[in-house]
Amino acid sequence: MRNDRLAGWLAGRAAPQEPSQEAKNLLGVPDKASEEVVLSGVQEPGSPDTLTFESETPFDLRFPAVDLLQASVVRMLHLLYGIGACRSEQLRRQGYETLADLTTHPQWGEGARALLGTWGSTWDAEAVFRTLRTWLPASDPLLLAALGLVPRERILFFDLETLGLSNAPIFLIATARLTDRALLVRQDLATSLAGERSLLTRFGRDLEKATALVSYNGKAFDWTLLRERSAYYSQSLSPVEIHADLLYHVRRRFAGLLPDVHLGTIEKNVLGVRRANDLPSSLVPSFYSMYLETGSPAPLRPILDHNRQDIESLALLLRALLGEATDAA
Amino acid sequence: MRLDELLSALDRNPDYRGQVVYAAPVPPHAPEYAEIALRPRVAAALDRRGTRLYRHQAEAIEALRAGRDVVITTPTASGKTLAFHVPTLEWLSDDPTATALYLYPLKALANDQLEKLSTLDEECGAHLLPSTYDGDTPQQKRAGIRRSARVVLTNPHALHQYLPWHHQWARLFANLKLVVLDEAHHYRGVGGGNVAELLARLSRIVKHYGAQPQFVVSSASIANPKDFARALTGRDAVSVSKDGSARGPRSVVFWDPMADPSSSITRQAATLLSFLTDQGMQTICFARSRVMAERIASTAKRDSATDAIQSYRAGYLAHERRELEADLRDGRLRGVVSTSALESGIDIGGLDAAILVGFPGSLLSAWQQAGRAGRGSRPSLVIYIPYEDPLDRYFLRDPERFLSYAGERLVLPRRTLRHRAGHLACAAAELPLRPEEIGAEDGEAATALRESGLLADTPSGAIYRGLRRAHEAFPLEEMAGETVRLVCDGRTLETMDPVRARRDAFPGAVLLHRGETYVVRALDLTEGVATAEREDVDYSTQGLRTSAVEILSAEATALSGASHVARGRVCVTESFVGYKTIHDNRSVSVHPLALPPHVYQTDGVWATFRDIPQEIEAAELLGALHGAEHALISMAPLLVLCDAADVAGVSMPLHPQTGAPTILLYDGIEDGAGLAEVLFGEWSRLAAAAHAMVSRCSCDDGCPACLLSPRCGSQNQPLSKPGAIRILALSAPASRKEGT
Ligand SMILES: [Zn+2]
Ligand SMILES: [Zn+2]
Repeated sequence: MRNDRLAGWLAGRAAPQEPSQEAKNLLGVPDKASEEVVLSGVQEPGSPDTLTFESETPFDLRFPAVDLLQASVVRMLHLLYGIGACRSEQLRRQGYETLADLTTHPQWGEGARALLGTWGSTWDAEAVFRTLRTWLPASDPLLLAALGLVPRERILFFDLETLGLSNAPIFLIATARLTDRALLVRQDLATSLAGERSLLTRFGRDLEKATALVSYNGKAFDWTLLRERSAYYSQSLSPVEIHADLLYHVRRRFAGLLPDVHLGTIEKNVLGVRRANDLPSSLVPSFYSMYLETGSPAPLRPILDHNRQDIESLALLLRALLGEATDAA
Repeated sequence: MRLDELLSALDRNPDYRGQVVYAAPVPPHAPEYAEIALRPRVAAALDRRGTRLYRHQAEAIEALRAGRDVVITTPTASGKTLAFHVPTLEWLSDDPTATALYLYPLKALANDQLEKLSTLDEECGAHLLPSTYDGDTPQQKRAGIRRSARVVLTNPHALHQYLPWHHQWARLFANLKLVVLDEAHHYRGVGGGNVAELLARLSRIVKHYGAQPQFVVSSASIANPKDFARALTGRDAVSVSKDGSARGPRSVVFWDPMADPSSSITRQAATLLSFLTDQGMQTICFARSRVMAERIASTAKRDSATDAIQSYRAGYLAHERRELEADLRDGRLRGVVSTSALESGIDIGGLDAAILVGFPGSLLSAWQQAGRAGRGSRPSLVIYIPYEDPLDRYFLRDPERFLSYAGERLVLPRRTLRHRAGHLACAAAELPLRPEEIGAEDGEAATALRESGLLADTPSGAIYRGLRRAHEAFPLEEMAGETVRLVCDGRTLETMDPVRARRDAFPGAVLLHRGETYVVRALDLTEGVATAEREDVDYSTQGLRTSAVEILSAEATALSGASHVARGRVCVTESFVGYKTIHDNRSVSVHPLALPPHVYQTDGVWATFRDIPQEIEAAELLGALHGAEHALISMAPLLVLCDAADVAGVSMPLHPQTGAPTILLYDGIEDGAGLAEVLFGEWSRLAAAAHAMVSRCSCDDGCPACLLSPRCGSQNQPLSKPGAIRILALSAPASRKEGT
């Protein structure tokens, strides 16, 4: 096969599709390298191929009170291995209302003491989650409410933008953290493909300061991809015990009520968020490719806006779902 | 039954017409055992089975223990698998974290071996936790297998898909001690080239995880085991090929069906099958298609005293196959007619007799089929019934050629740009490619990948950045150039390259897939789809090819007898002008085809004859060259494992580029499959075999058993048999004219 024919063969499996002219017009992205758009990111020392953007939005998020949560969890006798719905009922009739009551039971006492022992007097969030996750469905509102056991600064929201559908390079990682009254968003952008490695290293450091992750479809997609891309660069990500994937909760909560569970649909129908001139997710890879080819930062602006809205909506969604979880607790 | 008893029993049979033209006793050989120290638990397990190690098994085990790679090519039923199961059992029980990877060309073979290995594992208590892992593995079992299986059995297509997920397999790769390529003779031609590239990628990943496994290549007998192993794995291996297993006396009978022109080949095979089963011999009969297998089985069942005759096909459900296999092992089933599905791998025990209906395309396959008869030191019988094909009938005239089989050569093609580019993209998607990992010969492919935006350079190395997953964008079959899918009821049966699609999947073509017949209704070359329907038909079809060939470059030249031989790059313009339907080996009708000509580059080998003897008159020259070309093509499968249809040719009294009378053969696949290169190296032997074949045929003017080719696009016109013999004699060195 000669080289020109090889190029033809490769072309079919290569580059991202060009964004349509309408899409470009809509966003006001010029075709050629443009001098108008200036990105005001910060370059982290030691990572020349990344830019970081930080923003702070007032944000008020209340978790259900810990004592209320604890009160409802200790009543769940079936959290003890060997106790099912029937036996719970039986024990309750015998006067064993809570796991604490059970610690004196001749048969179940030892198990109950051991279980409560792993949780500790202050209720260690990771230990409680391990138990809840074993016995409750992944979409149980209690699993969200239990985020209240985690110190709020150790909850990490995250969202990715990638160059393709699967196993493609990651070029943007957004993370968000809670303070008492605000949401701190940080976006790490790779300004060339060489920056991916630094993004992953930085995200790895974020994980060390996190006890819980919050994502949308992150268990199936984002986390898997992060692990895969890290392995690609011979890095490892330390696993985080608690991962609240809000997609599971949305599916359960809005089953049959919404046409689909895309984040955009949730925003419109549940969160009341209106996006203006938003870049559709499907065009994100081609916009970034356009940037790589032209060197013009213009296509990056809509990507950053889109991604920041995604992560803000993620926090809003958690608040909406927690409202319901508070009732449950 | 002894051979003389059989022959006299045949003589008494009223249906017998003297078809036995040659009957050769092959002497038995006594088992050669070797005592080597084994780990106590393995030794005890083998003792309980009453198994002693043969010399070749011990040789392979010791070479592996010495840290070497091994290629083992002893015959079917010689116990090749034990030679690598033993080291697996020992190493994995010595080190409870150690792992092994077994690759099988087909899922069915992996499943069959899993059972055997599991049994052995239980007997030794080695805790191998062996498991298959492929497209059929249930989703809920996958994570568990990745976490704990210590021997994983899979296939190249699956491995291609799983390599990018290497971090999920880190445990397996980091502790890998042994990689076994079983039934490796399947990895030939372009597909074999793919496997070689895949193994290079595997080695790179395994190295990344810090392991240094040894490789075992296990194959049917071939002529070039060491070269083949090196081509496949890129490493040197110790060759173990001398069989030390016990073999009883074997008789090989050459049966000429033409001795009874009133009876078809199918009919004669059925008669033989019922005759042998009635003599109390458990018999397997190999037929080319399922339809034919069923016809032979039902006829034999009607004629035979026993009801226990069945046909076997690949399409059976797993439990149906298992039952049939068990019935064969237990002897409940007395006769079975199968397509090549039962040729190897599947354990059916040893039978008493094997009937080969038609030459299965290679001596390698023929001996795999023959190897189904014989169990330890018991006597066995093989009956060979040829079709009216030059190579088929050649063995009637030269049975020693069949009997003294030393194996065909198994070759992998030179790597094409497409191969390099595709596998380079996949490798870059698995781990960043460091500059030193892109070899000089990969430079061009790497450049093309960069230019198309699939590779990007970063300080970590070149990374893959396609929109689609590399392993989906570059499926193995497409890297092998197989861009046409054969589709039936919306399901893809197989993929083929465009040359083969035109040759075998034209509208009206009858195609065999796993023994079943399909009729092609449409061929859309732009979309790359051939649409077929399942239909039982009792005829076959043959595309008629014409070609024009332009020589692009000569890469090597040599003298063979009085001819000059060269090999190099050629550009082929190929047309399939029509096709024939063939019923009972007779051409029934010819149909025109309207397919556009196909232009492609491939490898060629050509012989030029500057001094044409005076006996060949000018008017006869084309017929002489044309006849010689047909004969050479028919004999090609003797030297290199291929289908005669994979090699095509042209002949010209005056080739404009060579300026002399020329016969040119080429690989009938885009970019070549490595065949022309072997034929160039073996040209004298090829010419000598073709010369022997044609000159020993008893016809006067050429017949289907020597010069007439069913594939000839010019209606086998003109052909001159005396001329062809003279031309072939020119190319065959004097000492070799009477065969090799
Ligand atoms: Zn003849
Ligand atoms: Zn011809």
